[in-house]
Amino acid sequence: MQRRFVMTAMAVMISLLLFSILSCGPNRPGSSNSNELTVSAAVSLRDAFNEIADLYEKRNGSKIHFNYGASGALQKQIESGAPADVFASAGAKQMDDLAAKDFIVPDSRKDFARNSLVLVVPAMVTAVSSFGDLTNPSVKKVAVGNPKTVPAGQYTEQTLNKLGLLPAIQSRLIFAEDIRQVLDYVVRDEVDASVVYSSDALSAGDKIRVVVRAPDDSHDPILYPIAIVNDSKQQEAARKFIDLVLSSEGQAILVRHGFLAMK
Amino acid sequence: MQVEIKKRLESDKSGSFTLDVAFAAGDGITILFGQSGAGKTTTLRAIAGIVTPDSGRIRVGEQILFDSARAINLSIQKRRVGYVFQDYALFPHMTAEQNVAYGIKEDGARDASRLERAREMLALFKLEHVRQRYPQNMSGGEQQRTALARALASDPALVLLDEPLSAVDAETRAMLIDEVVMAQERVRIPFIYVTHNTAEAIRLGTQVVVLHEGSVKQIGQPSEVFNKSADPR
Amino acid sequence: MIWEPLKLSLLVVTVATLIIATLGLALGLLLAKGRFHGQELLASFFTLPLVLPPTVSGYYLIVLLGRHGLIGEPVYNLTGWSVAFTWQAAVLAAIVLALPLMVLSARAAIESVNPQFEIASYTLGRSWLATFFRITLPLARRGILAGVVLSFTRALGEFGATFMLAGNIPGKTQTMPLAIYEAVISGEDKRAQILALILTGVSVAAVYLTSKLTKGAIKY
Repeated sequence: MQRRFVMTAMAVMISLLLFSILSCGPNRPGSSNSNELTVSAAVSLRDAFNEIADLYEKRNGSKIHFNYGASGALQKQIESGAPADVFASAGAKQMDDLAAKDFIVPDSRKDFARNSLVLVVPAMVTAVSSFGDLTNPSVKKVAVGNPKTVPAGQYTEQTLNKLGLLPAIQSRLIFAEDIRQVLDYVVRDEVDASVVYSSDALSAGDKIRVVVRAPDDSHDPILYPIAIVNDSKQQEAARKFIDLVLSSEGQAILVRHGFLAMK
Repeated sequence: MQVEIKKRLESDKSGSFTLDVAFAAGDGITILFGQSGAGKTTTLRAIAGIVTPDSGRIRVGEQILFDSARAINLSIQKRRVGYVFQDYALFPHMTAEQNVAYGIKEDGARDASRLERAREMLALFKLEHVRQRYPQNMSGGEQQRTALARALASDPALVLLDEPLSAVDAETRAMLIDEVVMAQERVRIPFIYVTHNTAEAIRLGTQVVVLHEGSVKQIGQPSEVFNKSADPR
Repeated sequence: MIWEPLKLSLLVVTVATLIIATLGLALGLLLAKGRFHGQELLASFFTLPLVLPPTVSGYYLIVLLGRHGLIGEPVYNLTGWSVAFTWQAAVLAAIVLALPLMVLSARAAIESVNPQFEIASYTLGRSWLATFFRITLPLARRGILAGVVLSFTRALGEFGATFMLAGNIPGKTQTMPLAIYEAVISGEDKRAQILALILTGVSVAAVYLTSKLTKGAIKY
């Protein structure tokens, strides 16, 4: 009766446990045996990289696994020995940190894309036609990325500083923890304006209006670096992937998704 | 059986005092008599193995349950001591017959045969009509008899009863007292019966052990003890 | 691409919940009945993942179990295998984060059982183990079941620690919460909504089923 039920339940549990433990032995078919690559990439690169991966898989016949996340978290993973073969970051800082601690293959590091900052407003707003217009009294809230944690926020801060706007509109700034949220605010008409990457603005379609692009010299160049992780067991395949990203085809795909190609 | 125990106790009623009890019991009902806090329940718990005395010796028949000098301290399970709790402690998720069958041990016995034996035991106590009832659907008297049946079904060498009739009305009590006497006469093993009720003690007891503040004040026949008792009630 | 994360989530959560149920019950029993030094310290240690942000817990996990980790390095050197970026890592993250809920619930449920019943069982000759399975467990059933449901739903929604240790690898470790996160971040609102709806549906179904199971329980 009750005892028998408990015994059977325990038996089922134990066998399930054993099964899951046994199925994770070192002989699992996976990235260490075949030529499968694991690429840790910033989430903003997802659509572009998925397309490039399709191209890669057609040409080379081997699969790519992507690990999409925030650049900072991806960096921590690699530092702790997560088995990524390639790292593509949305900012130089994370790559610099890894390089300083010897986690990447030094001569494999290349900048593969650029981005620019754009000022965007909700589709209906007409009062803003330049960065200077942000000082207008009708502009009450401006959403930007948090300069402390979001690379886009840092670049935005630089631009606003360079244009001499920062002291005036500091109190109108609304900080968000990721660029998606910034864009969301604009789409929902919760803010009067915001500053995002041109690649982000592209994905929001006609719900927003791009007002103007920030002058290239008003901020540090927004560069996306890519490199081979030192511990990678697939350095050959990794190099092939990076080459593809840097090729004219790869660059064209990136441009189509809103990034700027390397000159 | 024979018991000698000493134990230092902290009681919230009378501060701390030392329990120092020694008595012997044979086939019959030994009453442990005294006020609340006198140490009666603690003595029962020590015999059952629920608490461990600081020193002493407990022997039941040929078996030594506890001997501090020789570092013998049998676990509760090994002691073959039946216990009827003050609030019966019948398992609420089991029927009467399941409760009684619980303590029946027969190696390799199927559940069916244990339930059979439980039913026989219940019949002895005239409880067939409640055998598939749950404790909360039984009267106080029925619960008490079931608790006694359960304790006896486990084939103990000794039965301890902790004020088992305190929660029942006077009418049922009289009937139950007879049941207890009859049960003891059937199994012929020592019953240690705790109470502070003089009437019960006189009706039931073969001998009375009077406890006061942890120590034995008097041991004797009910007639002796309650006619010239030194203890005010 | 809706079924992949759903299948993965169901696999991960089922395995995790089974392990949590047994382990959590054992730990709850230990904390409820044990009388040993440092007992409350142990209890606090197990409650830690409840208090820390999941990402921090995930960070500690990968620091410990990654290829350069305290435990992960020797394992890797010995077997060439690392738990990071595998579905087992997702299970592990779910366990670490949801186990405290089970332990707390189990402990409270076991402590609520009147010890008198257990003592009665001992006097009737039953061992501690038999008593646990035949008396304590049935009487503590509702609280324990509540703990299982709580940890099941917690494991289902686990995100921060899962990402750190298992990564967000579609088809391999991308569970529902990670898929939702990625959909939101990439602007795929429709997909995000569908996934979120499915996840909510599964959770609600789980809780509803469990409350039906405990409905018929006798009130003690």
